[in-house]
Amino acid sequence: MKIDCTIDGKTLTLSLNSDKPLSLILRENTGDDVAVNHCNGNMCGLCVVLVDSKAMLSCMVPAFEIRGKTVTTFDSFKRTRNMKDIEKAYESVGSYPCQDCYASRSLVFESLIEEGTTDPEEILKELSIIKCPCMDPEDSINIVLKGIEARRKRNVRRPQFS
Amino acid sequence: MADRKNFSRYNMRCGILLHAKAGNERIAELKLPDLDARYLALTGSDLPGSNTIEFMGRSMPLIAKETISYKDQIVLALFAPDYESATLMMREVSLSTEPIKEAEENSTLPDSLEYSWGDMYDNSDGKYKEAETEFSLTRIARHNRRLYTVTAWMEGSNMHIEAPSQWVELIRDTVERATGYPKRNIIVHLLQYTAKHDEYLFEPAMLAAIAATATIRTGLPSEIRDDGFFSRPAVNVKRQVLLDEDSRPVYESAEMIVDQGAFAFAPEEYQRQAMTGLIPPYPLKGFRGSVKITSSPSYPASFCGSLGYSEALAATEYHISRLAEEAGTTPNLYRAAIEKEKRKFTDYIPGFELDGQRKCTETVVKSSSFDRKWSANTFQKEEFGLLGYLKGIGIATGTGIAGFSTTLSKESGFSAMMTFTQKQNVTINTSAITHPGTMKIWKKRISDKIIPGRPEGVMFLDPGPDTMDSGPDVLSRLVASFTLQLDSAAKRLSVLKETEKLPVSLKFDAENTYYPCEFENSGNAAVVCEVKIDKATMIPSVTGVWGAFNFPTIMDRSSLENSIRRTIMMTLRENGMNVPLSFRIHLDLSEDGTDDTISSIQQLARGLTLGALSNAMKQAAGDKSASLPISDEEINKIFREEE
Repeated sequence: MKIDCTIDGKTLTLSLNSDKPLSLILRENTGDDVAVNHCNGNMCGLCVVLVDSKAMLSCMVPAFEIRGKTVTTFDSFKRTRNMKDIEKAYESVGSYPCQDCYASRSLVFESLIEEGTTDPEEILKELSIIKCPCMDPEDSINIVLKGIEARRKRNVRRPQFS
Repeated sequence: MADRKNFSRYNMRCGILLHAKAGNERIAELKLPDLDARYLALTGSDLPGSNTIEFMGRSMPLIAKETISYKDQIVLALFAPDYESATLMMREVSLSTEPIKEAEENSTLPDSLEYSWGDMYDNSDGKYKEAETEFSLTRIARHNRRLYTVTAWMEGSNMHIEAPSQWVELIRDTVERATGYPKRNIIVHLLQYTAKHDEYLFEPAMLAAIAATATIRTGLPSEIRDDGFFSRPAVNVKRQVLLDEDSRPVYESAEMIVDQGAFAFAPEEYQRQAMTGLIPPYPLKGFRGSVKITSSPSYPASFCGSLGYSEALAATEYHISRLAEEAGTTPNLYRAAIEKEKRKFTDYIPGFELDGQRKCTETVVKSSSFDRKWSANTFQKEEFGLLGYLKGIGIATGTGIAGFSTTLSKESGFSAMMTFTQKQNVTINTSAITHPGTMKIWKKRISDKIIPGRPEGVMFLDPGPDTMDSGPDVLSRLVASFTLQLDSAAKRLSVLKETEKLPVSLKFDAENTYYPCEFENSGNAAVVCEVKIDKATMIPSVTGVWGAFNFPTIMDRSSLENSIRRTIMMTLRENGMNVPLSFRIHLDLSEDGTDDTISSIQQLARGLTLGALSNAMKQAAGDKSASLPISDEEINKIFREEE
């Protein structure tokens, strides 16, 4: 089937199987090396991408789900000002993820910061998709809170949720 | 570095592997479907060269040929135009096996390593009180949620391999042995990786050999993917001790048995590292220690997570806490009573002052209210009867060691070369190209000694055929001992550049002539761990960890703190602990300013966390909980048995 979507700012029309996982699409059809892992849906938690600003495990997203949507990988996200907010949050909390999960965790943080989630339970629930045990829960919560603070300071208008 | 792959994915072969379902079996039949020219199947007999991977004198097959030694061993590699086709075709492959009735004895295992001092006392007269403790760790063998992806392609007469690896030379060696392709023409492009234990050591080399064979056979670039595997060996440590009337240990014997799986890699080094951890920090009139390696049809624990020092250190700390319990006092008070000012000098670890360790212990004891909690838990436990109090706190203190032993360093001959060029720059020829942060620190340290204020003048040569083998990046060897070797070479080169004609080169090897013992101590630490078992679900949770670490020098405080936090978190999770929202790691880092040896942080933090956790679980769940990892189901079973 033909699928129109936007991946890292490029509008693409891809011809592929409707159930092909996004992680494989990124790797095989767009040649993106950032999604280094494709664990065949074993939930390694290292292939997170933003689909319409929401963090998702790319190996769990079938091709038909991305029709008309915007997919952002860490490769393009790391150059944005939003990533700078997250880096500032890492620095102020004094803790940062390991190299393995740096990309994925940063994208989940971005998703939480963008939504303005401050409920600790909610934050940890969202972060539970990443199985890497490199960060303790309190640091993760603080990073999200610091990130929201940095974002507010930058006067970025967040989307309004009804 | 040569250019990375620039070929289309549509013009390559994608490979997947068939793994054995069980170990210790014979392949009765391996039936393949009819494969057209687009497919390629590789069995153990299809490799043009040797079907083995060799590591420090030990070897194991790349692909099982007739017998399957362990569960998950590679039996077949299947290459297809894409992964979907490969997966579909793999379903058509049928493997039938039959169990091997008489298990072959693994004759390659080394003898048990013995170390002792003093004469042991018979105690048939009952002069001393006898005590016995047992510490055990269950084998962990599971996929580590990582996918190894290795690509091989040819460009002219060169074979290019792209892989994440802790040891580039092992890839080149294995590919050369498997394909017969000259090592000079094998170029390895390193992919970024983070190794928490010993990942990216053996598997990438094995996959590279298979992918390179496929490339030679098909003439097309080949990529192979496989799930990563983590294996921690089963460890059992039994200690018998004779105590005097003040409950001080006088004579002690310790026996450690380690099951390394189907194939043992660097078992002698494991024995040396483990023995270093087994030697107790307190004085004894007589000590007998032994480390025995055994085998079983399970996944080889390659570098065994930490090569034994962590596990042995944890066992020693567990033992000290049991003796404290026996003496009716808290472990830190007991320790203060039995330890001297200085540790005994042995062949494995030098005699060093225990001041640093005591300071660390004081810090964590105070910040965690350890004495109060330990005593309260002990008293409450007695009150609570069958179900127990379900709360526990444990402490472990110890010293760090750096990298490999002196014996292994002497045997292995890993080397590097430092050159002072005519343009007043310093070049380093080494395979030890690690993470950018480490490289930055190295450049600064070297420039300070030879070309002050000009770190950009220090250059690490790009990997190529003439790159010198500086050994694997496991156990922080490259960060630990290699840093010292670079320092020492830089000092010598700063003198030579004034006296010799330029360019002047200095080849230095891994032999550390200034190590009188197998290992040099570096850094002290103490860790306290508090656990709680949920009354309803029996899920063990860790409520807090307090750690105090003292190092000679701290090069990058933030990285160090993160590394310790990560290691603590991973050790807790690895051993079945739930981490609640309120959990916090309280860390206290300090440096004493001496420019001394650098230790492997992970080994120390891992060993102490494991020791403190074992002690805490012992207090929370009782005598039968000594084996880690532990689950809610096992705790439930323990209490049911007690009923």
